[in-house]
This record gives sequence, C-alpha cells and structure tokens, in this order.
Amino acid sequence: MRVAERLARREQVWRELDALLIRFEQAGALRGRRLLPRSSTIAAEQQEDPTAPAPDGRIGAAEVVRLGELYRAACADLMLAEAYDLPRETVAYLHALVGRAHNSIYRTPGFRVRDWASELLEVVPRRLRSEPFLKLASAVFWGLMILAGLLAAGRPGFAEKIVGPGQLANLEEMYARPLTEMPREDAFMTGFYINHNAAIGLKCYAYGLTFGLMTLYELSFQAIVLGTMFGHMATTPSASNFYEFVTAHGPFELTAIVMSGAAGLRLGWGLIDTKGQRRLDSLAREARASLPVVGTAVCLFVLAAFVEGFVSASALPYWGKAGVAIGSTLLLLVYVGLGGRGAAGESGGFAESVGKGSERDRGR
Amino acid sequence: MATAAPDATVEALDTTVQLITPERITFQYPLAGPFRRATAYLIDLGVLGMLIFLGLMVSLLLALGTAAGGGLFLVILFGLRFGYGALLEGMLNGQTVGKRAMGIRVVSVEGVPINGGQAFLRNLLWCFDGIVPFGYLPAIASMMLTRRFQRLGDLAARTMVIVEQRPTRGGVVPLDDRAVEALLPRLPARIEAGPELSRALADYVAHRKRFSASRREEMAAHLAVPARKAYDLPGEAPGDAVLCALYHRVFLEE
Repeated sequence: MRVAERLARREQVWRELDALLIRFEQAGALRGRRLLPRSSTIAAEQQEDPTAPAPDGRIGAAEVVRLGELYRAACADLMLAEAYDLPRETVAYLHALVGRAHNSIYRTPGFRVRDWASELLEVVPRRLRSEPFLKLASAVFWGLMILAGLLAAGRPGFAEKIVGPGQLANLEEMYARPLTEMPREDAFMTGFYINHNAAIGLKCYAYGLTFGLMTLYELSFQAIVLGTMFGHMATTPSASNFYEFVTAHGPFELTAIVMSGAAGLRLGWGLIDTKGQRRLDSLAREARASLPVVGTAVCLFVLAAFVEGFVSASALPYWGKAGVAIGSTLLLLVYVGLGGRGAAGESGGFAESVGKGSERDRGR
Repeated sequence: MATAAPDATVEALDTTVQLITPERITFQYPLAGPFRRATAYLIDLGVLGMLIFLGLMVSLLLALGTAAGGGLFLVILFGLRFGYGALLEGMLNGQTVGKRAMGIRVVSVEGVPINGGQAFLRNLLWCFDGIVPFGYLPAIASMMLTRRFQRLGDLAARTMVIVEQRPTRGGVVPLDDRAVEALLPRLPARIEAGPELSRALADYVAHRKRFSASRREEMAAHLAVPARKAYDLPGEAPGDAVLCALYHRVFLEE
C-alpha cells in the first residue's frame, strides 16, 4: 500500500539527511573551517574539488546545498506524514529530524566584532543621551555620595556607624604612607579590580529584575559607603594620599557604576511600565535595549581597573594623575555627547536591529 | 513575533512547544525541564571548575609565581564566570558543554537560534536567577510558573531550552506470523481506517513486543472483539493476531 511504499522510498532521503546533519553538528561550531579529522584515517590526498565533501571534515558548498534540499523534502514528508496518519513513531522521528535540520540551517549568527563595535560607539551613546534613568541613577548616586561625604566629614561618629570602625582603621592604615612607599602589585590589583568591580556592575544590572529595587539598593549602598569613606578620609592626616590614589580612575569607575545602575533601573522599569505590551514582552524589550549599556559599563570598569592598577598607585606626580582624570572625563563627555551623531540612520547587523527596536518604541 | 509562537491557550497541555518554520511547517520540540537542565548545569560547573584550575595553572606558569599571575587569574576568573555560558551558547548554537551532553539547546521563543546578545543576557541574569541566599529559587519558581520552563534570564532574553531528540527510526513494522497470515485472506482487500484507528493500530504494533502474551491479549481485546464481529473472523483467532493483521492490511498492503 501507499504508506509502506512511501516510507520505503523516503527512508533513503531521511537517512541521508541524518548523516549530513551529524556532519554539520560535528563541524558546527567552526562553520566550514578546518576541523580535526574525525577518524584516524587522515586523508593523505588534498581535496581537488572544493565543493566535494572533503575528507578532513570541512563542509563544502555541495553539502550545504544538499542539506537545504533534504530539509525541504523532510518538511514536506512531515506534513504528509501527519496528513496520512503514518505510525506515530515515524511522525515523532520526522519531527525530531526536521527540528535538528532547522537548528543546523538557521544558525546563531555568532559574534561579529564590527557589530559590537558599532553598538558600543554609536548606539549606546545615542541611547544614553535620551536615557532618563541615567539622570536618575546619577542623581541617586552622586546625591547620596555627596550627602554621605558631608555627613562623614562634618559629624564625628557617622562614618563609624556606616562603614564600621574596623574597616575605617584599615582604610586609614592603607593610606597612611605616601603611595610611592607602598608595595607595588600593579598587575594583581588590576585583575582584582576587574573581577570585583565589574562583577558589582553586572550584578547591579541583573538585580534590576526586582522591579529595579535591588539595583536602587545596590547603587545607594555603593554611593553611601564610598561617600562616607571620602568624607571620613578628608578628616584624617592621610587625606592627600587617599585623594591622590582615587583621582585617576575615579571618572571611569564611578561613571561605570552609574551606567550599570541606569541599565538595571531600565530593566526594572520595563516590568513596571509595559507600554501596552505584555509584562514579559516589555521586560524582554527593555532587556535588549539596556544590555549594550551594561557592555559599555563593563568596558569602563576594565579601563578603570587598568588605570587604578597602573596609574593610581604609581609614582606619577599628582598633576599627571589629575591629567588622566581630566582626560578620561573629557573622553566620557565626548563619548556621551557626540558618539553616534554622524552615523544615525546607518544600518548594521544585529547591533543596529537591537537598537532600532528601542528607538522605535521611544518614537511612539 | 508573537505570530510565530502559537497562542499558549490553544495548545495541548503538554511539555512540547510548536514552532512554525519559515517554510510554514509546524513541528514540535519537547521542552527541557528543570531536572535535565540542572544536570546540564552541574556538568557545566564541573567543566568550569576544570577551566578555572587550568587558568590558575596557566597564570602561575606565565607569571612564574609573581603576584601578576594572581591578577591574570582573577581576570580569567571573571571572564569564565560571566563569559563561559554566553560565549559557548553564542558560538555553539545555543549549547554549552553540559547542554550538549544532555542533548538540550537554547533557542529563542520563535524557534530560531539565539544571537550573541541573547546569550549574554540570559547568562548575565543567571546571577540573579541563581542568587546565593535563595539557592536558585527565582530560577526554579520562574520555570514552574511559565509554560515553557523559562527562568528569568530566558524570559528577558526571549529564549527557551528545548530537547533535541534523536529517536531511532521507527518505520512500519514487518510482521511474519503464521496466525497473522492465516487471518489476512479473511479481511477485506481494503480497509478505510480513520486517523484514530490507524494510530491505535500503529501504537499497538510498535509496543506489543514489550508485553507478555496474556497482556497482549488483554489489551488487544478492546479492538479485536469488534473487529472479529465486523469482519466475521473466527472467534478463536488471538486478539493479538487480529490487530496485527489489521495493521498489515492498513499499512503494508494495497
């Protein structure tokens, strides 16, 4: 009867697709690039025809074309199988086969440096300029930091309550001597700062999932602790050492915290103001829009860590460190103020498509 | 976007998700539940541990024991902590080592593979999903509450985790039994079996090998008794043989 006949006829096609898929899955990550030979038989002869399936595991054009043909054939078979009441196992087999082929054909675009660079240099500054949460996060962070600093400097006992006497003593002891006399461990400290600070920034963002509340908490916490330390150190004899240390990397690091806080708040706000979408879709929209900002914040954290490790504690005279601080502040201002102004409207790959979504939303 | 993923309310209550390909073919994926994903996560943790150890060794070797090696190690630690899942999922088409071992894959809810941004996002939000004081509670709660077993990172990145099955090829089962052959001439040359009957027959024949003879009889009786009556078959023919003969006629012959 037709069923058995049809199955027997199609069997061959499915087997071929299956075998081809296994090859694609093994070569998958490298997408056509050279793979280590699968079996022990290392082909001695080099392939003459570039389209032929090469013995070294490289996937040729012919195979890619064949995969497309077989995939469409299997799709058609799947529809027929469901329409003709084929045995359930055959249908399940076809579902799985089509699913695997679908995953091999519609692949992850992967990471393209160009997209990420344009995202970083063009889309993010554009978004930051029109980002109310950047202003909010800045206001919260700087406001609390200045407030805590003034209180710590003006009111004896405030700093002990906030940070704890043990940590204050630590801090004072750390900066008791001029920076040039301290043991230098530049590279280690750079690594430490990257690991520690960037993790804080990333967490600050992820905690935005609590409707932004934990982001706000984390941001305020950092601001108050930092402000208290700054204010307290002003009252101690080691003030000059301390301020000399924090000058150079301050702009990058503090901006990075504020930016990741702003991104976290945007994520949280996506859950609150859905703009007419379902809450989860709104979350997804804001997550896509805010992720590049976090990426930028991480870059800033890394920059700050290098400055902190190699410049802040170095023997460079103070005007040199102040110059670094002023230079990095100017760089940030130029980045946020002018970045992406010329390239508006230019279309790119993933990065632009991510950006477009949010800009469209804002335009509405 | 919402059109590609059919409305949740009309789908069957099942742990599968339907996808419509650009070729307008609908096919189903089984979704990966918490247990399979937890196992994949544990495997990933093991791999991560080994990578961190390797990173430690490399940084110690490169720095020859100076403190700079510690710095390099911390950078490696940071990269692995936040980049392991994101980079692997981004480059290996939605699979980490553990996911590959468990045969599961991250795809976006539209069924197309995830892009780098989604991979980063869902892995970045893991630090909230797996937040330490609550022991993965946000992730588990979110998976229980959503239809596609999505944790919060999945929800934000619009991804889901599916099982990539490789069922063995199950075709038409050939039958060569004397009792069946004896029954075949008594059946009409053509039986119009509807979808339900043919599915039931196919299911029975595919699974009958697993049961003992008496159990087969018991199961087959439901269908064999009316079939004997309808096609005027001898009463002493075993129910199993009757169903096999029906199957033979429906699927294997003209």
